Amino acid sequence: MRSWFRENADYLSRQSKLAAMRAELSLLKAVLRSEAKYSPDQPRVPAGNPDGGQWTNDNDNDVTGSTDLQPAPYLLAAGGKQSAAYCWNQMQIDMLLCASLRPAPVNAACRAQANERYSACLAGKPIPPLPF
Amino acid sequence: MIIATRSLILRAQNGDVEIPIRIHAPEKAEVDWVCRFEIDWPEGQAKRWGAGNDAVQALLIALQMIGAEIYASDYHESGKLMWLAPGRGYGFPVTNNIRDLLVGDDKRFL
Repeated sequence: MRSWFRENADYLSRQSKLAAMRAELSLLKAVLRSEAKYSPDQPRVPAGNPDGGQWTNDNDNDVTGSTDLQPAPYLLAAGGKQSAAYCWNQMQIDMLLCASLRPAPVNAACRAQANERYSACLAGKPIPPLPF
Repeated sequence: MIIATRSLILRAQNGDVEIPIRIHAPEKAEVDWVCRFEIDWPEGQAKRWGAGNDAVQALLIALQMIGAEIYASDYHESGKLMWLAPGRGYGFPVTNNIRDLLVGDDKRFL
């Protein structure tokens, strides 16, 4: 058993790094989503209501419930230019994903596509997907 | 290590403001390569990095990121930002999807 670990040390090390990168990626995605969603002007449920103080929105009849699951950049791009900080966050997340990809041509293509997404984000253009 | 610099000029009401851009040598990171750069905008410094499969891709991506930052900036939009002459562009490459933003010599040669 010990020799198996020794022989596969490289593989295990790579898997471990990949798992750490995936965890970091999830965290960054969550941060990005929360930054994109936060608005001090968003209405709250009035006091006296059981949900008083909670964030609400004007479209309570939206039953799709899928907003959180959509790629936020598409939705946000429709609203125009994003902040430089938002685009930079997106770029870092994309780069983390790209870094986990092999073989090299896929990794390189992912980087180039991530950069197109960064440019589009800054310029307020529709952000292309990152299909990797 | 800084390998290249360029200064843009912002024509402000109180006089010209220099906007220095510094590009560092690509460095080998744990997985790939990164190329750091800084743009000293009047409101603060933007420190970013481009990453690539090798040093050349990291450098190219960094240059394109600088191009995107400049062309997407309010300073460019105001028409008061220049490199060597007003309206001639800034001499940084950009990704294909924002080529329509290019002006002057950038539009012709990049």
